[in-house]
Amino acid sequence: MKHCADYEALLKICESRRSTRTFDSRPVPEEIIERIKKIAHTSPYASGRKKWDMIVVADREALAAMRMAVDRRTGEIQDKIRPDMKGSFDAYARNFSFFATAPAVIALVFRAAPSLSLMLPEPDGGILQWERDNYVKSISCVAMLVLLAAESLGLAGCYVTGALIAENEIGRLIRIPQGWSIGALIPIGYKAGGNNDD
Amino acid sequence: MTIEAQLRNSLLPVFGFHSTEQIPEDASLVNDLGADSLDFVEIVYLIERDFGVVLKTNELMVAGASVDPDTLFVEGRLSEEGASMLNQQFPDSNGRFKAGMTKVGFFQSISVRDLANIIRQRTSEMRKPC
Repeated sequence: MKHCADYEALLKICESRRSTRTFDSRPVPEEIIERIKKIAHTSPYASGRKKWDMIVVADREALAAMRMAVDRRTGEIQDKIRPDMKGSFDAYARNFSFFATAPAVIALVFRAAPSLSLMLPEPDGGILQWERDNYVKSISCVAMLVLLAAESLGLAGCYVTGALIAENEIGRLIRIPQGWSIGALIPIGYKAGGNNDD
Repeated sequence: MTIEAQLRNSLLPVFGFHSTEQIPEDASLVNDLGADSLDFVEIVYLIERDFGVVLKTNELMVAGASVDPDTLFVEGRLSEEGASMLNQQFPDSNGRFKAGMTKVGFFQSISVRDLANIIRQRTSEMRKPC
């Protein structure tokens, strides 16, 4: 009944996983990050094309710069929000920059590599969207494995896309390759006040 | 800028590199840089966009020569004549194209320099007076 035991273990990890937004200051050992990446690399990918990668950011200054970029962009958007929607926006944007408080952030990056669109004689917006969607779907699978791997190792994380309102600036700060995009940021760490490291 | 340098620059986003130093001229597009079959569709597109050289993917197999690729392969394997022609077409091949090589093996062996040589050859043909 080994398979049943595997299922129960996976179910336990899935059910215990929660989106965590507050972390204590303990650093996440590099070895643990590598173990998370090892699981993430088993992720399936669309069209048989593994056009994604992970960039780990643990440097406090880099994370602070990323946070400032998000806050700046949030401010720019806030100025344009309808007056009656400002409260809603403020509540929505509250979680855009907490990621920078985590000891480590895994940025999932991908490239929407053209293929079918290049086989057509004329540009087709629908095909271009489909191509990009394929890579977004792939990176979503990676994200789930990162979160489950972190949970299985006694850590916590959160799937962050709100911060990507400042994707261009963040991409510049973490030096993503030219023509690549950020699919998500996943802050990783030990839960604040928790006892999840034993 | 040499064709090699320009090509390495064009290939940067395909492989997600920051610097052309990560794309050595003798690197195999497949074995060293990790190109998949659909990457070749984009590589052919980039060559057309950046060099004005129109290539079909299967023309890479004949090093850009005006030969039907199927005539070089017998039952999926490179013939003696095919190997000889390819070694002539690719000046830096050092006899690396051998009879019996599969099409997959051929694609795995194509280097950045080979690709630059194909572009150079095609470009010089385009410049020849009619």
